[in-house]
Amino acid sequence: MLIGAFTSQRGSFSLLVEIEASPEEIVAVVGPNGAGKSTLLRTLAGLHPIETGHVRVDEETWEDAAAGVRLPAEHRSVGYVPQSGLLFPHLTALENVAFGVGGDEAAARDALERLDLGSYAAAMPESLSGGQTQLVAFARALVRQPVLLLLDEPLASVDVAHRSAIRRLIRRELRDRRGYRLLVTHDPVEAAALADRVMVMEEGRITQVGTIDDLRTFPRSRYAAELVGMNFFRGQAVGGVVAAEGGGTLISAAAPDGPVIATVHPRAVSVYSTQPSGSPRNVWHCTIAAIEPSLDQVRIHVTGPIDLIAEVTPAGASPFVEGQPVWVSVKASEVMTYEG
Amino acid sequence: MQVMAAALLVMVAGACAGPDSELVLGVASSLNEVSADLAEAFSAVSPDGDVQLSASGSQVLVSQVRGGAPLDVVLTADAATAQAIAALDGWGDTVRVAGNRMVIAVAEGNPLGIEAVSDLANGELTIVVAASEVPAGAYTDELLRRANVRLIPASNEASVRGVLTKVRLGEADAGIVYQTDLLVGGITGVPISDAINPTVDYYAVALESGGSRATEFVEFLLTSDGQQVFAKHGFAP
Amino acid sequence: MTRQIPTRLAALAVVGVLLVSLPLLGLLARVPWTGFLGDVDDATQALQISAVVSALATLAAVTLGVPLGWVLARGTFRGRTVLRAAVLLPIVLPPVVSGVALLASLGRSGPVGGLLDDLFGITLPFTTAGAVVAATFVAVPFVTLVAEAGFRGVDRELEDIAATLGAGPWRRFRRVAIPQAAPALAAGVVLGWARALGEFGATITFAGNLPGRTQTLPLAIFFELEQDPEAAFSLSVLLVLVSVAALAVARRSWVR
Repeated sequence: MLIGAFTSQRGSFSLLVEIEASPEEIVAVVGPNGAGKSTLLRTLAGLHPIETGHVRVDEETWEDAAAGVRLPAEHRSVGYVPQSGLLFPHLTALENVAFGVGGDEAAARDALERLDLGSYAAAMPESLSGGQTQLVAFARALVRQPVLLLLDEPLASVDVAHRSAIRRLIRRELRDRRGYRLLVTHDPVEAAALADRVMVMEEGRITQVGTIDDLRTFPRSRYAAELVGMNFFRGQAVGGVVAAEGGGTLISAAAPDGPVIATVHPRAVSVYSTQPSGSPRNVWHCTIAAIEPSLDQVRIHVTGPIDLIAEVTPAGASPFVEGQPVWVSVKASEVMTYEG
Repeated sequence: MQVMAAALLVMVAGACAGPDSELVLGVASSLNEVSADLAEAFSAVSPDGDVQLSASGSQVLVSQVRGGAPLDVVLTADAATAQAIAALDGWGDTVRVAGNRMVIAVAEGNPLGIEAVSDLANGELTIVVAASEVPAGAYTDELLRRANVRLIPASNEASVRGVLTKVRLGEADAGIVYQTDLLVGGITGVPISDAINPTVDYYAVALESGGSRATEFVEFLLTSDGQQVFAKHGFAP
Repeated sequence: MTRQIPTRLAALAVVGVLLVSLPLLGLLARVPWTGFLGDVDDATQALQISAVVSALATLAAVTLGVPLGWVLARGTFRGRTVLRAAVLLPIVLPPVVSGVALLASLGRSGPVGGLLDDLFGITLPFTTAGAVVAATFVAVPFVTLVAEAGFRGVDRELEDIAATLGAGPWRRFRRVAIPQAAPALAAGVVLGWARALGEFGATITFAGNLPGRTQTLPLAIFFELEQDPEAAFSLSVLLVLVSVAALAVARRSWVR
């Protein structure tokens, strides 16, 4: 098991982390910019010291603040792939990959060929594209067969056209091996495609751990909810009526009493130009704040007694304009409420 | 911008301030101390203006005159330099004003017991002399030739004062310097027999830029007042 | 592009260029080119001494200066500022002062020199080794300065990556920092060599002046000036040409 329970300081920013990972699963750490995800990886890699706590990998103590133990990065079996690859500019791709294995060019060549980069062995880093750089950096880390593999935003510097192909390659390589594998991303699609388990990190703290489905159904923070595209409310529920913190009331079909989180899927939000009749018990008179066309949907942001995002088809959005007063409704059964 | 213009003006004014009221003396470095006193004595009898001193090696004096430096009188430690300067300037004559002799400089108390020039041929000793290009060096060469001594020095110093310094600091066991240099202190002098000791002659040359006042100064050097100053510093008449 | 340079600055720059280049041009004009090769030939001994002394001094300066530059660039100990100031001191000292300092410490009667003499019978003044020491003393700060700047420019993240790939401090220095700082280090070597080659004040004060042992080219020029000024001009031009070539090489690898 990889066990990390520590605090870490970076300038005025502090981390408080408790993580556990098994070598069977691939973990994605998601979070907004500045949440401390990169610092987390660097700390596990041994590039950044912890203040209190410890880091243990497979019964080996890599760091223990109280005992004054700190294994420097070069003595940890770790593979770190940074955001922009960071290949050594003065070495060829092959030499880069061979760097961590004592110049073993045969092993390096194998590693490159596994990623379809054999023909680039003699290329200098400046001639490689973003995607190729990333893959060479990946190979460089993999060839050492490290116990802990850390990827920081692996697809960030890859242009859109190549993203899915490279994602597939990375996914294959990650699944083909055992060992602790942690990757950092701000893209939920990437997290869903590559990882088994997701950790949400916000402001230096881990706010939620679970599968991507767990996140989708039960997001525990506004960021997590936004990540999976859900409307998110915190409030107090009494008898199925949720009083939301920012104002407004939601009626939910089944809500536990007390402090709760209520989520509503954007597609469950209906927008009308005239007051609707019929069953929905949640009806609000709002104003359209923004209309946001997306690839195949349109997202309508409304404000009023409650703020909501509705997702409709382009045809359904056509009658509406920004600033227009509208009626918005949600079925009580579509308001998912759970303890929060 | 205005500050710079002002500075420039001051510099130019300073450069122009010399000729009429001030007498600039270029002297060989072995004449450094005596020249200060000579300047003072001269100012006492002829207070028409300052006497400025510029001491350097004799060879540098020649370069300076050649390059048009504002010297009014030069005092050299050998005839050749004086003649070269007189020829360059083409105005005043060379006038012999004082004399000197060579002596062996050793550490205070003469711990190594050096007694004559022939002792210097000992390969175990570290000996320094003035470079042949310098008047003191030329005299040293003459001395060694007369004494029939072959010497391999550890260094040919740029000036006779350099020789003195090396001996005083203990870096060299012995060196050949002027008798007058003994007055500086910190060393002991071993005399050299008259038979082989060359006479060192000091010459003064008045330069055109100094005009009548320069000539006046050179004449002063030959008066009893001037000669007294020389004697006080160990020079021979 | 020149339109963007204010006239005031351009005028001052012209003055600067004239100030620096006129003396050199004047020198070139006075050289008796017919006798040039002959003069150079006569100075063979001085040339040899200069070649040997400057080469050894550069080697020493690089061996000491590059690690020093690394320590100053990456070290986190207290007193780094003081250390840097001490190392750079010879740059601001008049060379003769450097010579005096060397004499005071490494001379026969100096604290360290005396020990060297008593224990090993080694004296540095008046020897070629002494000339090498003097030249090294003035060259080390240049190498250190440039090396430190070069190392500072190396992306620390590259060193971090190397660490995660199992490279300890020495390997990171040798295989990441040095290759990355190579252009700056090359410039440092050339500058250090040029400085060692041109050293005069410290050499004549500490090592003395003896043809065939300590008389380097600058010393030969100084004494030649009174014997045969034209020969001095020839040798001066030689030194200028060598220095210009060195600076041209250094600039190419420095300004990249």
